[in-house]
Amino acid sequence: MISTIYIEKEVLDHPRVAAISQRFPGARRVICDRYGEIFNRKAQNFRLQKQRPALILAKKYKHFVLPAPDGYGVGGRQNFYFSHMLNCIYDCRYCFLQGMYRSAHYVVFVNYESFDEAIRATLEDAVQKQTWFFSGYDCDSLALEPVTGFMDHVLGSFPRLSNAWLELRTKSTQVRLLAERQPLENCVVAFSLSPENIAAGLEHKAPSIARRLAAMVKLQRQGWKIGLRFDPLIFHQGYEQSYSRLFASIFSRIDVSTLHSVSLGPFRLPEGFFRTIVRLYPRERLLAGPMEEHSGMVSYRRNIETAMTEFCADQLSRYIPSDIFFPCNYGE
Amino acid sequence: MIYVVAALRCEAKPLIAHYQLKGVGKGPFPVYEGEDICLVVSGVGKVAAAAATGYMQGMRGDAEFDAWLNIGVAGHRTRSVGEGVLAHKVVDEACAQRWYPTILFDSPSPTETLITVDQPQTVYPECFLYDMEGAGFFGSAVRFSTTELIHCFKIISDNESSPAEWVSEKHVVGLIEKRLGDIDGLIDALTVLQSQLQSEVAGQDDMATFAGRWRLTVYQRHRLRRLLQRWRTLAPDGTIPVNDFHHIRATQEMLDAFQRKIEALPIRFD
Repeated sequence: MISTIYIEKEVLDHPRVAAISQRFPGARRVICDRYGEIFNRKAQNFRLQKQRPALILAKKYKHFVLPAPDGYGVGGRQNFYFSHMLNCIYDCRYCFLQGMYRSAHYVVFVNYESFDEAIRATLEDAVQKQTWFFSGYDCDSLALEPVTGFMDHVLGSFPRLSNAWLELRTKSTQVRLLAERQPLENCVVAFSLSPENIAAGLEHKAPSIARRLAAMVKLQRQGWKIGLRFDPLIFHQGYEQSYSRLFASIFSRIDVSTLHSVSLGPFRLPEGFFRTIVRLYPRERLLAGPMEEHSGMVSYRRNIETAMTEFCADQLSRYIPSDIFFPCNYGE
Repeated sequence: MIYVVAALRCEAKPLIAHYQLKGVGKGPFPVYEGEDICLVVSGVGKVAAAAATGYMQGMRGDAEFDAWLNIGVAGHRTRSVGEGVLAHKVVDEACAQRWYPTILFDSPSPTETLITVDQPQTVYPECFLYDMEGAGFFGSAVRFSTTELIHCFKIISDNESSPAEWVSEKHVVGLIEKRLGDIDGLIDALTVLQSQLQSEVAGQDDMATFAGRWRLTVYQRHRLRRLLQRWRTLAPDGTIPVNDFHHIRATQEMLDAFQRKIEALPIRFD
């Protein structure tokens, strides 16, 4: 899986570096000063690198917890995100990471304790406001868990406070870590879901919807709070049937009475990211669709976006109460 | 095209023979060309290597996804003479500048850090490769292509028990000849990577179909190129519908009509 591991000098002797490296005994190890000299360099091709990404083990120095973008959240007063890893093992063609980073290598920051401290500090500033911490923004929360053990660490250290909430967003079926733990009251495991044809056509290397659904059902039965994330909505011929089938399939297996939240989001990308992704994949059907640019964001034409959002919201309203439904209105 | 930069004629000679390259033109650097490979003999040192790389790009490099390969001999403290090694890190010793070639294939040989020095090295301070061209080559090539397509492949010519003074031109020819199989593997791997990128670039013929009928500004050419990509993506078996717009004289109107036609096509993910 990993054939090259770049290691920052600073963390050469870090025990997590040793533990992670041991999992890839055949990988070449290359020492670097700072991860940026590999990751941020110009003259890299994200698409080619995605075929065989390297692992970069690094130390993060600042910005451990950042404010979440507008519209990102499930009702909390304050929303933050944190990323122990940059890039994802999946290869979803709609993902903004392809447009944001020059490199497809996986960067893992091994100083996990610094994230704990930043979360605690953020909560102290938040006083009693309900505060959400989202993991899975710059990477999938669980997909590389067997290698990094980051979520195991976070779940063990996340404050047990009534105003502190944690969301793990994922497409992964690597849920053994969660299945072996007592469910946390203030943690939501949120699964990103798309119709089967979209998952097969655009969510490359990600588990099938059937497998995600099975993982979700298993966790819910064990008492974990589950969230459903239909984001981004993808326009295609027959989207009404695709999304109706998806919702019917999910709600025939999920217990709605204990479901934490459902969110819905349109396809949106900053214009610069969109152009970069088009350059990488000029023949991608998703990107050839009826898009338009407004205020620096590329999205489906407004009439299409509105029709899709309203259709899906209406369909969801047949299954779930409105108080757990959170449509994302990015930039509005 | 794959561009090969070799410092010495004796390093180039086996490659010229193996790939059946022919000498072309007269210029500041000897150049040899085949169907898919073009080789330049740069001379010794990183400045010469950088200059030869820039010269090749200036004279011939016009594609977005050319591959670049520096092939030559290098010293190493312990590795055996004749061993082939691919660089996974290239360091310019004089200024400590570093590059990291991205290896996306099964390397035909072990990989190692390559240190480029300004003077011939008779001692090997660390267990790395030592040469005099790699950093000059890499620093120049990275301006023209992407790090996945730029590599330095070195064959050990000297080590602590077999010093550089013993290395003759004839010896170098023999060392390179013995590693031609590895070099073939490397060129094959780079060709595969290149082809993945080139296959998706919009055809010039499609552009010409329109450019012959409408006068296009630079902006309109960009827009048309993207419209053609979208058309080819959503209607891959369809011919370019240029005749549908024959009644439209204004370029802007034609482009708008083409866009509407594309956006009426169904998008399926089956």
